Amino acid sequence: MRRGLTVLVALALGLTACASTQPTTEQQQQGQTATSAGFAECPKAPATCNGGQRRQGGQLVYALEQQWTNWNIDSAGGNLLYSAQALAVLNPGIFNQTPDAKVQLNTDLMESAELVDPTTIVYKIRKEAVWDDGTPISVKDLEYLWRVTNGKDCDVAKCTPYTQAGFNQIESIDSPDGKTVTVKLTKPFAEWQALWQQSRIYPAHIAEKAVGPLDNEANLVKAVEFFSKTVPTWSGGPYKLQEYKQGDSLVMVPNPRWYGKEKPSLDRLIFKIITDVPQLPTALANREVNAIYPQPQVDMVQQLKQDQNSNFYIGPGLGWEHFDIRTTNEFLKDKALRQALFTAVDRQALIDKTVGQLAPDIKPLNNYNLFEGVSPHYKDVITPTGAGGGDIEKAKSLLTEAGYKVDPDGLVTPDGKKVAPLRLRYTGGNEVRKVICEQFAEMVRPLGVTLKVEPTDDLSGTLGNGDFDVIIFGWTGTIFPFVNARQNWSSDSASNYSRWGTKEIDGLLAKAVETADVAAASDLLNQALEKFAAGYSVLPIYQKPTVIAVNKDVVNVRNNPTGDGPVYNAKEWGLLAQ
Amino acid sequence: MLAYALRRVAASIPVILAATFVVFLLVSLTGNPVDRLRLLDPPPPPEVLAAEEQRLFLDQPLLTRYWLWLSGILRGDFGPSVDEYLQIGPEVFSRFAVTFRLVLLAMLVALVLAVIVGVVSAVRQYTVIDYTSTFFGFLFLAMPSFWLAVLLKEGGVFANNNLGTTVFYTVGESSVVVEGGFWASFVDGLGHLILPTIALALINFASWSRYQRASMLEVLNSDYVRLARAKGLRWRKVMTRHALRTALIPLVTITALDLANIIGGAVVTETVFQWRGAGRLLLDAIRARDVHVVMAWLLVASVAVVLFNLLADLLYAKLDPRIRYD
Repeated sequence: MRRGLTVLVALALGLTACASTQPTTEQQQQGQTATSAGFAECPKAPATCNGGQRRQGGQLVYALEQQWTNWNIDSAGGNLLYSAQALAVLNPGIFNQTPDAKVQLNTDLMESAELVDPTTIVYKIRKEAVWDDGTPISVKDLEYLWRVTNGKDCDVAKCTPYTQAGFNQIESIDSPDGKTVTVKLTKPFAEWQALWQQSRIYPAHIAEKAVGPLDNEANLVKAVEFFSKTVPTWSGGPYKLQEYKQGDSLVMVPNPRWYGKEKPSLDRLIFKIITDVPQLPTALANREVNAIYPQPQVDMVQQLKQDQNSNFYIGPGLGWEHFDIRTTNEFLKDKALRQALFTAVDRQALIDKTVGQLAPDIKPLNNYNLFEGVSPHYKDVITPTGAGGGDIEKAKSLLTEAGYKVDPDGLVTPDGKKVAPLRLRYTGGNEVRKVICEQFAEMVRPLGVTLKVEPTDDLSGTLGNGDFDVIIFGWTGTIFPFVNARQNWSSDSASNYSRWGTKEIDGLLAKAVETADVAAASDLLNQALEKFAAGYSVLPIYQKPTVIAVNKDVVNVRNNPTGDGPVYNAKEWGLLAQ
Repeated sequence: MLAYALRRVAASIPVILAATFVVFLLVSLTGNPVDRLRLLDPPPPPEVLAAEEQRLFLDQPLLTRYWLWLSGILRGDFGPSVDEYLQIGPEVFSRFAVTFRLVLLAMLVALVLAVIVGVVSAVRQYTVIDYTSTFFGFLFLAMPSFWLAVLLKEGGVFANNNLGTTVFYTVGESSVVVEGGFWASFVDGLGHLILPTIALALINFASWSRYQRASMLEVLNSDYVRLARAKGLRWRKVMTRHALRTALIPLVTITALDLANIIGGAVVTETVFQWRGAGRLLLDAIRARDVHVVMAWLLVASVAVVLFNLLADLLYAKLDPRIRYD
């Protein structure tokens, strides 16, 4: 209880979301009177807020929280959130994911990308689009990624792609001129825009020069390794890498062969690796970094609030928290008990007591994959189930109707067994999750159910081994929801940690992935999720907020909760014109 | 003396081996590093996960994994890292070079301060100087190192804001880009060095100054010092040649024994100041359950501790003629 209060106090300290945009005395003394528009417009205009006229020159230091040695973000070992951000300015993608959670054609690279029929995509790459050595970005580059990912040209265990989604459905890639590319799919793919978007484009000609022709498995494996261990000498983006200090920093300078309309204004864009998140606000206040995009923590928000020289913004993210019930448990295999537990829990109260005080707009999440305000196909699949509303009386009556004997001293099952205490687990050190679990345990106590709140230091191990009865953890959402949904909720998937599902749901999820029309696919997904929600095995709680903070003279850097992150428009980043 | 040194080194080998075995077990049992990939949304194909487990020897029994690591060490191979292309050997040595730079400088600063403050406190016992140094000594002793480091950083930022220019830096060993040649680089390096060195030095200075004070007091009250004064030697000569030399002996031992603690302190200091040293390497490796990196770290650190202890014993003999190693 005392710890809970501590969290509340700490959370309450971060009540004010955005810092003032007025220049401070110190700034005026230092001649930094120019301040950006700040993030005030972000809730209404997420894709344009903190905009401003850039001055030519200067450097901007953007903090990353993890180091890496694998430069191949398309491989399982190299697909890290932070390396992906740095490499996004070198390795282009066909589409961009924008801050308003939309998929937008990368018009620097592409003339068009169209689904001409459910199984045929035609891409037209701009003829001006070239790598920094002058080699055209062409079908060869798209083909290379397809070959190392599809599982046919190269064994998956050898080429180690981080995802095969969609690439293993490509039947052929043809191009008469290298720039117009026709891709034939074996079956429709709802997330066709994710192809060469989430996996980025690498220069095949450079790999070919290093390892030989990319027409056999041995060379494809070598090419994957080459891109994995080679610090990029190439660029197909607005910047190119000038200097890399291992595990410390990457210095990017404008790519002289950049073909896009918007030219970088900075002399240098530096990615500085700072692995200890609590150190970021001080580094920002000291102008050792100019932009940070960490996971929000209450102490950090308090520090940012005190920093007069920076603006910060707490916005909605696509990560989301949820309770999972292990349905193989002797007692929890009974749907009535699961339904009662989820009916008794009051999600809004959980939010109000924790993250709601950090970002007051946070509401209970009512879908597993399609988010309100993000997807036009969002549908509330939770409220109709009665879960998450905190209705204790209804929960009791559900149990009584199912034959349970509700006794505050211990719930008794229809066959006379007393329900044993259940283990509710959370990630050790995560105070917000701990408070939520403690509150959940309190909420279900009137049902006679004892939830023993226990931390785990090994979340993935705990999940993988099923070492829980109920657990709270998070998934990272995406604006390409269909493959993830199939992965997470199919009854036979290892990632479905609740171990609950039905063949009917599996069928709907699979059909959604294979439906080219996004509206139709979303409808199928919602149908599947409605049925899944009615199983009372997983209850979404809330969307996690994100925080971005920049010095006040930094413009065009803004929150982007999608997989692309804030670097989606790195070419536009700059320092405000005086 | 040489035979003694060799015997000491030989005796430390089983200790290091036992330590590596225990640490290997503990780190390995904390979890599977490949689980990081399993929690990706969606996770990579199962074949990829299996290949990764094979690469990291995770498909082998625990004892076999330890033997693979140990036999690799004998061949100069530190084993595969979770970070696929990380060369553990060069990485660990380069990180320790950064750490030892910080540790040695901080030790030097702490020793000089401790000796001065300890001696002055002892000579001026129960005066304002003694009480003041005692107060600060206990203050720094009681202060957690991470907190002191954070306070220093906040102080540095405050000073920079008031000076209108950046004198103190709070992250890294140097700025990413320094324009202006050697002098600018030197000043930049110094600006990055000041705060972490002070943070690490103050914690050790606190305890060492107390040892030095106690040791000096004991010597000052000894008969031979009284005799030296009585036979008319100058006070300064008695202090430096007779009292201080003897009073330094316990400090030498303590300093060497404290090396492990100082490296522990450096882990915290490097994390707070984001130095790319061995401390940060260890923490990152523990977070990633990168057992082979942890083992390499432990090996280098334990060898350093053994060597420092040996050095302390040898210095002890040098400083105190009564000590003989046969």
